[in-house]
Amino acid sequence: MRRVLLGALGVVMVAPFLYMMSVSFMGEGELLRWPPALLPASPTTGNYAAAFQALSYTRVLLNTAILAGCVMVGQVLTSAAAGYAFARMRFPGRDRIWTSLLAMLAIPAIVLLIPRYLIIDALGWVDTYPGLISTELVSVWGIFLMRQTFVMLPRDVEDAARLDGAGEWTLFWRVALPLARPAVGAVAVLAFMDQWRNFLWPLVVTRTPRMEVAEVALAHFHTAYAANWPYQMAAAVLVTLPALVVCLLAQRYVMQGVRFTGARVRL
Amino acid sequence: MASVTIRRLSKVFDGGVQALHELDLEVRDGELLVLLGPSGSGKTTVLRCVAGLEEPTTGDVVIGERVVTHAPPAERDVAMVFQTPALYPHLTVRDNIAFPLELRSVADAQIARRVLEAAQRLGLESVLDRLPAQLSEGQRQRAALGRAIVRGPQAFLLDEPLSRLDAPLRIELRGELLALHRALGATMIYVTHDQTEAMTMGQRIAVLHEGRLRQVGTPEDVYQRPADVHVARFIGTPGMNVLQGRGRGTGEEGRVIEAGSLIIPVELSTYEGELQLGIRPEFVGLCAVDKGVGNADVLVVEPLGSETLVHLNAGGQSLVARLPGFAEVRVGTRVGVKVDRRRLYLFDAAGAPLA
Repeated sequence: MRRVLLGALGVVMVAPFLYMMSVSFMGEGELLRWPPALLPASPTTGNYAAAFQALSYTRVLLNTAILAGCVMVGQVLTSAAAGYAFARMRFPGRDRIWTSLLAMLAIPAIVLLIPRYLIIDALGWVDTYPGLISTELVSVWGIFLMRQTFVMLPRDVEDAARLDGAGEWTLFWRVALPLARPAVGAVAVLAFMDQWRNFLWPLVVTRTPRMEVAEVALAHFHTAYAANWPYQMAAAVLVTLPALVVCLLAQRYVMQGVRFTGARVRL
Repeated sequence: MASVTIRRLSKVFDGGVQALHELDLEVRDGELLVLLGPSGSGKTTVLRCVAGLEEPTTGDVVIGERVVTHAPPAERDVAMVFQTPALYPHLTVRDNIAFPLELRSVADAQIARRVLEAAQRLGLESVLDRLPAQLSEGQRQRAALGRAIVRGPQAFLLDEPLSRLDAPLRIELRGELLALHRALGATMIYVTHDQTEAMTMGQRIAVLHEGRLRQVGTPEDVYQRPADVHVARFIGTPGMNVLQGRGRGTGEEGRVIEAGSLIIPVELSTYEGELQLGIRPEFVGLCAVDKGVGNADVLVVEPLGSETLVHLNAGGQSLVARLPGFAEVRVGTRVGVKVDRRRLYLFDAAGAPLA
């Protein structure tokens, strides 16, 4: 019964994606017939060639990869460092700061959009990589995940390391962080995927096609080829594909990381 | 190796709990001293203060000639073995043992040599490249020992390192630890609540009770000459019987202590009033009703093979008799109680010994 339910849920999730693939191989008018076809009558790759051209795929891919890559590295570093500090170090106001950080999770991102833009504009970073990337480098959610992981590190291991001669930095870098690998993996993958799908901020902060990232390019593409669904589907597949590959490769880490926050470290 | 001296050490935790009260203790160079006490007596706190993992509220910790009260753990040059192996789960046994040397920037060749030496000493050569998760419980604790001995610290601090092992392994490792102590001539402070471990391992035993040091002495000392009633009760399996009594008569003849249904003659010249009478279970015997110092009811009989423990109720006072072999005693019967009068311990009402 559970399997049937999970299977049904799986189909609901995957079906649109499969249909997107299917449509991307259809001819231009094929979709408009009634009843609509599930599979292309005569599959064609022409849509891909065209979409590839129209999207300036390499440029878009490069931009998106730079954004997602930098943010991934940045979020891992900031989340790990801050998470460690909140979990294992003592400093005045620690818990109060932590609570206010958590409260910030409740602020909708849209409210911050304008203030963020104004700051980036004042810095003269509009339509540049720093403008695109800098605001995304810290994630409260990432800090939360890392903190939960570090909180659960066994105290004895930390004590042993201190007696072995480890200072705070060695403890963080050589003991705590390697032990938190699954959580680091989860933060990295989720940061990457989030940025790959990021739309609103890049749309606001970039102006030229030269700086376009995947979602923004796709949106423009949509406006330009509104009626040509197979075209759009091909473009969507092109943009989704790299993220899909990353996701499949890293699936294990994400699962581990999320599970990790509920499980104890085994000695 | 170095001596470890603790001077007037007190520790009050954040919640206001005073874990240690002005503790003075000297561990001699090369000595194996056991810190013994029930759980919550503060023994682990002493160890953590020596290690630098806790900051004492007042008092000093001296290692060798150096006052290290406020020095970070890394600068104290002591090694600690915990109740859990506390190995680094992501490192192999080899890397675990090498870790303290690496942090001290010891040359690679020397690290390799010393790790191998330590591993050989502990019988770990064949598992050097395994991760902690792939080891048996005993191997893990050995690896933790390896990590402690590899850098030849000034002193070893052992916090109940055997308490999580099963009995045969515990006995095996106890022997190995003693051999290690002899071979290294190491200063060791060994914390335990298991007084068999304390008696068999300690050159001297320091008995802690409620954050106060009650007695420091050889195993024989603490067993034969307990400094107060807490030590008397705690040392021995089972511990000393302590009866609440009252001294009666100070004349030439009638000097007795009444405790429950027992009236025990004593050789105490002048004492009258509340006091506590101690007697070890091995010096309590049973006899026919009305033939001893009083009568008692048999509550529980525990035949252990080589001996039988008989738990008695003597007019509201409980005491244990240790009888050789299998004793013919039935639960619920009334028996007479004998005591060896030369083996009595007298304490005042507060628990201090009466000369």
